[in-house]
Formats: sequence, structure tokens, C-alpha cells
Amino acid sequence: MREEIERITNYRSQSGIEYKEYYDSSDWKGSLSPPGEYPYTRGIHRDMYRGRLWTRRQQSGFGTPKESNRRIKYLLSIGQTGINMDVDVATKTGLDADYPLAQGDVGLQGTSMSTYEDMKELYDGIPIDKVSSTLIIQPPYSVVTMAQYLLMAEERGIPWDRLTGTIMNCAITQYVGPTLQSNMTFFPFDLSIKIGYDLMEYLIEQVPRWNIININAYNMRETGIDAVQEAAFSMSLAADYIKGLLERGYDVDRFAPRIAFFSCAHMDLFEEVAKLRAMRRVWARMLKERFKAKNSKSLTWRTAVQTAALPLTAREPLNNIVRATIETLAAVLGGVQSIHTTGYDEAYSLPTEESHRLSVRTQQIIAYESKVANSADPLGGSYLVESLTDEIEEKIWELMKVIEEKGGFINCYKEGWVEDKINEARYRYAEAIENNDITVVGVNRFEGGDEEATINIFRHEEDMQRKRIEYVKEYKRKRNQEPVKRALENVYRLTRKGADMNMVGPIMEAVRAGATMQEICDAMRRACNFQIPK
Amino acid sequence: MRRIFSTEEIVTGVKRGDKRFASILMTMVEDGVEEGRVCIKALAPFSQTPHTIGVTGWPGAGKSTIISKIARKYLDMGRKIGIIAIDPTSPISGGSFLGDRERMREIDGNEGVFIRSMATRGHSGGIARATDAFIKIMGAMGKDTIIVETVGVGQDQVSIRHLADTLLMVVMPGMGDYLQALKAGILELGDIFVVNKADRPGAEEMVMDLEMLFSMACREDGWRPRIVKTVATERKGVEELIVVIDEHREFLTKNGLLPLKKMEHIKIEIKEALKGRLLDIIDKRMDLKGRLDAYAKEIGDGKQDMEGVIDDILKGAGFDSPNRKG
Amino acid sequence: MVERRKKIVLAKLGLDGHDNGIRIIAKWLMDEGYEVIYAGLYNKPERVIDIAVEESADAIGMSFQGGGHLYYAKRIIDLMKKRNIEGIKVIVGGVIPPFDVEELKRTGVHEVFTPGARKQVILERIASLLS
Repeated sequence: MREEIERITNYRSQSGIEYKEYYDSSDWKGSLSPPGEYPYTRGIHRDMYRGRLWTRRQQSGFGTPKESNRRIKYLLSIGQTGINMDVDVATKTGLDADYPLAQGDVGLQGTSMSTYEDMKELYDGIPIDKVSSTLIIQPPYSVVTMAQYLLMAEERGIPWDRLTGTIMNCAITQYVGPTLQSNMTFFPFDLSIKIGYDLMEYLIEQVPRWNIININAYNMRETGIDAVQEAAFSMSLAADYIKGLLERGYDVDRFAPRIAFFSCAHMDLFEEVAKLRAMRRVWARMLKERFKAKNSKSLTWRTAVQTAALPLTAREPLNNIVRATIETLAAVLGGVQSIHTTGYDEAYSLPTEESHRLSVRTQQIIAYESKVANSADPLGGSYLVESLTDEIEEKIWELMKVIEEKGGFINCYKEGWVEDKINEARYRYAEAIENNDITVVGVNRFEGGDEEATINIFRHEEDMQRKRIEYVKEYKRKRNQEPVKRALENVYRLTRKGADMNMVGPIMEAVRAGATMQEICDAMRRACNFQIPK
Repeated sequence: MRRIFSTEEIVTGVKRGDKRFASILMTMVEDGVEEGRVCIKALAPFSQTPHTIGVTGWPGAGKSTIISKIARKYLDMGRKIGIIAIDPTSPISGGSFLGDRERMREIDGNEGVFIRSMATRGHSGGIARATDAFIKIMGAMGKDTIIVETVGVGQDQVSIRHLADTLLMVVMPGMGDYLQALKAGILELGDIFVVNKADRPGAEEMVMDLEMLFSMACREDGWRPRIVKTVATERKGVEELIVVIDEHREFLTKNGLLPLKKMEHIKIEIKEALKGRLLDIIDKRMDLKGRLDAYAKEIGDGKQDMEGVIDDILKGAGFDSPNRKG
Repeated sequence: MVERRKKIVLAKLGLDGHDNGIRIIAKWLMDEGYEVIYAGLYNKPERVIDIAVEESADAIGMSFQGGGHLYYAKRIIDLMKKRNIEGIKVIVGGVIPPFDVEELKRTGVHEVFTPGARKQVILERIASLLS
């Protein structure tokens, strides 16, 4: 029998760029400015990770605030350096645990957070003046969560200028997809965008070190869109927000340094590195040339990264550890500011404590043992990576131009264009796996391994949902009702009044008075005569 | 296993307004089951004649949203609603993606409303007959208003014109050029033109274009198509639309046009049914399905022309002296 | 008699908005010749069953990413029993731990698919379930 020669059959990158047999000086003749200098291809600081290692920021949130508090403390104890607070989907849709349609999802994909008490319990014993937090929630709900956080700081006597962190605060990208339906069902869409701006404005004025918005490219990427689409969609969306803030009369240099991104690191290592480098360049050029920013801080593109979960498999779950390591390496080589390494068990459930630890350890091994973080932009000057960076940058500009001509990203989203593109991409990605165009080891190649997982899998605490539902009901029964009623009435009245009023103040007063997440959102919904599904 | 019900059980169930039996009967109709026909016949005396509103228009114009808003309003007025949503079947796979439910959740699950999707696949007897049977079933359930949604392109456009008492054509700003091209033919596309998404630029121009087109000719029945602007997602213009729909219905009643329309519709139905039966007969007598490929090839290769092939088929099926036109 | 095409109602239950998987399955089923009634996001069990009844569906398919599978599958099956609805098969897909796959089947779910399930396997198993 003839020997079968094993080879890779497809040399295209994930976004369809054909890798060449080899690259040399004919592919890239450019020159680079050093890291820390415009257009920041090589990173936003000269010393990069020597000056400060990226933040290890694992998303954590499940069940009750008390359970999540335990997990956060555990993560901090093993070397996590930032908090990534994820609320459950009920909270993310402005519903309390006791709302009928919410009851089956309480605490499953994040922490159930309805009240100010919940916030205090979640952060109990955690020094919020020393450790930064990302709060994963979008407007208008983000205002309630941010208010809870700020009131907590106030109560602890911590001045707001000592707080560091990020609020997601993007009305579009937070929901997976993002499908139109998800963003139109629980709150009037235009009003949610408007309230997002209200919060940005408030944070610009009152909380000087807090990031006012986080453009979530990751959730879009997880549908199956490619690296170029991820970059172009999120950059175009950012451009819309910048325009919005300029229209509100802010100088670009006052807010641009406080816009952050949340990107994805996928399996195609060099393409992902090139994408991250290209995005830094696109941002720098866009801010300088189009928006006339002058402050160098406005020109530096900062991003958090989560490693892609889409390539993770339920089959042979231990393979996912290797995948997540490669993706994490891509993020590090790409020079990002914080990383969440996705757990190997996420094709089954939320990460166990053991899996969470492994994610932190993966990053620590890359940081301290592999030596890849010792020099800034270690792949800089590589013919392959530089040529790929150039090509991707060009494609990003092209796609951004298309979006701009269609009236900007938010408009494209409302018109359904974005969703069409996402649907196309998700079918294409799924088909590519079926056709073996994308190889997934253990799934469409080298199958026949052990199908049964022998790993530990996370289980929610027995009775967690019932307890949470009871807590919320009990809370509403026991509190002093009069101030709540008054504060909600105020939110209702001011929402009705409309356009010019910044809603953050009144919402914060309602939180202070003891109103829950849903009560505050319902007051605004009622003011717009907006119905939500029962 | 699914339980099999007797025709009597089904008929009684439908008359009671029971959604389960109505839906079972509809499936029997779609599948061309003989008992289905028996049930429909048995139901005929009990079926009041509901007001049938056809809604057509290009995908994306907002048909489903408009329907859900009209239906919501009618429900509040105490009417009983049936909705038939016809979606095209993929010509390649024969499958279909019926997604209108997503946009009708405002009324979905309401006791007074029955929604049924239908794919335009090869119904025995054609889509028009199945729709007609669905309307009869819904009428027998006690529905007084039936809304039929189609994409309104190609074949079913013709049938909906005859099935519906009142036909709505949903358009949106940006479709002007297409409508212009139709010239006076546009008059037959609908009794009421709904300019949806009227908050977008170009809505006024669209209305003016339509008015201009309407002024170019008159319709045989004397009705002058009306134009209503809506922003369905915000419920704007829906009240007015309902008023105009009622006006059209009144117009039909006052001029005695409803029975005429019905006769017209029945005549077409007879012809449609006849076509279906004839095809079945021909197929049985000379295996048309099996030979269709060969015939097509003959025409394609230029060995035969269309008329020659039809002669051949008719002869093969035992129809003597086929009489050609002209 | 025309060969009967199978009808499947696909829905997301509760608040879980992750619809990547179910949309891909919808497309695959449609390409395979099924009639897919897509009920979208944010459904409660009652609505899904109402739709399945009105449409005389052969099966209900739902997907879960966030752990709501047991809560909702149990409610769907209990409701069908309570309303005396027979003949509608229940299919569940999504991020589901192995111990819950067993539990779902004990509850009365007919098929469960988890991430990485191949198209061909899914289509074959659904075809044989509905034959």
C-alpha cells in the first residue's frame, strides 16, 4: 500500500485570505514606528507588558450575589487582577427574578441582581478602590447597575474619582447576535440608545477614570462572522457613538480615551494578531484624521479580549484547553489590555472553579513561563504578519466605507442589514465545518475519540432560583414603600417629558430609595406605553 | 402515535371552534386526504361568510406587522380573527421557513385568533384551493374576519385577488420605480395601498406617485383605490386603515358586488379544480410525470415544439381530435 | 395523495437570546425539505404549544445555551400531557451537560443534540424520529 501523505488541504485564513507558501521582502517593505507611537500598530505603550501585564479578568457570575462573591474572591486569591461582573439575562433585560417569563433563567448565565442590597452583597469585602471592574450590562439597564455601584462607593466613603472600570453600556452588541428582536423586545430601542448617552455624559462629568462604553465586538464574532467583519462592524459602531457625543457638544479628546473595546481572539493565530494590530491603526487614523483628536490618549485603541467559544467542542473537551491557550497567545501577541480565557467546559455549562483556575493559570504560564511577553510586539517585522496586517486593515476600511454609505452601523442594524450579514456568516461557518473547510479536530477530523466527557461539570445550587424569586418578593414587601413610589413616579414623569432630561440622576435616586431593576425600567416602559412579553 | 379522528368528530370539533380539530382538518386538506373533502362539505352549511382581507406586498414591506396591528384592533372590537400566512416554498429543497409568527406575537395565543402558516408547496389542487378551504374552515369555526397574507409575486397574486373581498397592497418608500413601471395596471394590485414605514424619506413622493397613477385610469368596479400611510411598528395609521377597510366593504355591499365577486371566484375555482383533475387523469392514463423529462428534452433539443408535445400528451391520454387554437 | 412534508416548530424559551444554533438548524431543516415554523425568541411554553397545535406540527424543537433546558422541557411536556396532546415529538439542543441529557430523556424529550453534533447525524435522527 502506498504511504498516505498527510497534509493540510486548505490554506485560507478564516476571513478568506489565502496564505502564501512563504513571505519575504517582496510582500512587505514598510517601516514601523516603535510601540507607543502613532499609529500604534505595535502597541499602545513603548514598554507594553513590561510596564504592566495585561489584566486577568475572567467573567464570573452565576446564581445569587452571595455565590458570585465567593467565586470572585476565589479568583482574586489565585491571581486574577480584575473583576468581570456578569449579570443574568433577566437583569440584562430589565426584569426581576419574580417576573414570570424570567423565572426559568434566573441566575443561570450570570448573577441575579435586582436591588442595591444585591450589589453590596456581590462586592462584600472586595476593595473596589483597588481592583477594577467591568460591568456587563447595556442601557437602559446599565444605568441602574452603575447607580448601584456608585452608591456603594459613596456608602463606603470612596470618592468616585478613585474608581476604575468599564460599563458595557452599548445598546446593540450586548445581546448575542445581535438579533433585532432581542434589542426591540424589552425596551424602546431609540430610548435605550439615548439613555446610553445619558450615562456616558454622566460618567464623563462625574467618574473621571471610568470607561463610558465598551464596544462589544466579541458577541458579534461569536455568531460566525470573520475577523474583518468583527473589526469593521465594531469600528463603525464606535464611529456612530463618537458622532453622537460630538453632537451632544463634547470635545473628542474629553471622551475618546474612555471608549473601550471588547474583542475576540479566534483560532487563526496570525490573522488574529494581524487583526488586533490593524484595529489599533484604524482607530488611531480614524480618531486623528476624521475626528481631529489631538490628545495621544484618544488615539490609542484599548481592548479587552475573550477567547472564542465558537471553536470549542463538547466532544473531547480537554482539547479545548489547547484551543484556549492558542487563542490566549494570539491576544498576548496582539498586545491587548485584558484577557478572559474561556473555560474548556463551556460547551457543557458555566465554568467550574477548577476550570476557572485553569484559565487564570493558562494566562500566568504564558505571562511568566513562555517569555512571549518580554518584548513588545514580538511578531512585528514578520513579513507574514505585517503583510496580513496591511491587507486586513485595507479590508476593514473598505467594509467601513460600505457601512458609512448606508448611514452608519446603527442605521444598518435597524434596517436589518447587520442581521442579514450575521445570518449569512453563521450559515457559512456551520457549512464550512460540515464541508471540512474548517477543521475541528475530534469533530470533523480525527474522530472516534472518547465521546463521553470525563470532566467535572458545573451544577447550580439546588433551589437557587426559588430562593432568589422569594428574596425579591420578600424585599419588595418589607421595604419602606413611600419613597420608592415617589422616586418611580419621578422617573415615569421625566421619561414622559422626554428628550432633554438626563435620566441618570432620577434613576440613581430611585435606586437609593430602594426601587428594583424592573420597577425602574417598568416606570420608563410605562411612560412610553411599551409592552413586554408576559 | 397521533390519534385518528372520525369525520364526525372533526366536524363537530371545528363547529365548536376547537383549534385542534381545525388544524387537523387543515392538514388533511393540505395533504389531499379524501376525508378532508368530506368534512369541508359537511361544514359548508355552518360556515358564515367572513370578510376576507388579502394582504400582499414585497418581503420586508411590513405585511406581518400591519396584520398583527389590524388584528389586535379587531380583537379589541370583539371580532373573531383567522389569519393565513402563505410563505414561499424553496423550489430547490421543497422546504420552507415560516417566520411570520415572530412578528405576530402581539396577537399570538389570543383565544379569539387562529393563525395558520402555509407553504406554497405542491398542494393537490393548488394553493388557491387550499386557501379557500382554510377560509371555509375558519368561517365554520366562527371567525368573522380572515386575513390572508401572501408575498404577492407570481401565481398566488392572481388567486388572492379573487379570494379576498378587500385587497391591501403594502408598499414602502423606495419602491416608486417599480410601481411606475406598472402604469395603470397598478389599479388591480389592490383596493387599498398601504404606504408603510411612512416616517422614512420619500413617503410623500410615493403617495403623490400613486395618486398620479390612479388618476390615469378607472377601475371596472368603480372603486378608486385608496392610500393610507402607516408606521406599523408604532401603530401609526392603523385606525385610519381600519376605517378605510370598512369603507371598502361597505362599497362592496352597497353595490351588490359581494355576490358577483363570489361568483367570479367560484368560476375561477371550477377552472382551477378542473385543471387539477385533468392533470391527475392524464397522469394516470399515460404517466405524464414519468415522461415529462423526455418531453422537455425533445423541446429543448428542437425536435418538437410545445404544441406538438401537448397534442402528443392529449392523444396519449385518449382525448381524441385535440383542438388547437388558431 | 401528495407526500406529506413534516412540520417542525422551532422556538427559544424564556429569556435566553442565544439563537445561533437554532437558526442554523432551521436552515438545515428547511434545506432538507421540512416546513419550519420559527417562533423566535422569548417564548413561554404555552405559546409554543399553541403554535404547534394550530400548525399541526410533527415536532417542537427548542434550544438552550444558558441552562434553562430542564425547567422548560419539563413544562412543555407537562403541559402537553395536561392538554392531552399526543403525537408531537420534542427535540432539545444546545449547551447541555451529559447528566441532564439523561434527565431530559427521562422527562420525555425524544432527542437531544449538543454542540458539535454533525448535520448529517441531526438530520438522520430527526428523520427517523418523525418517520
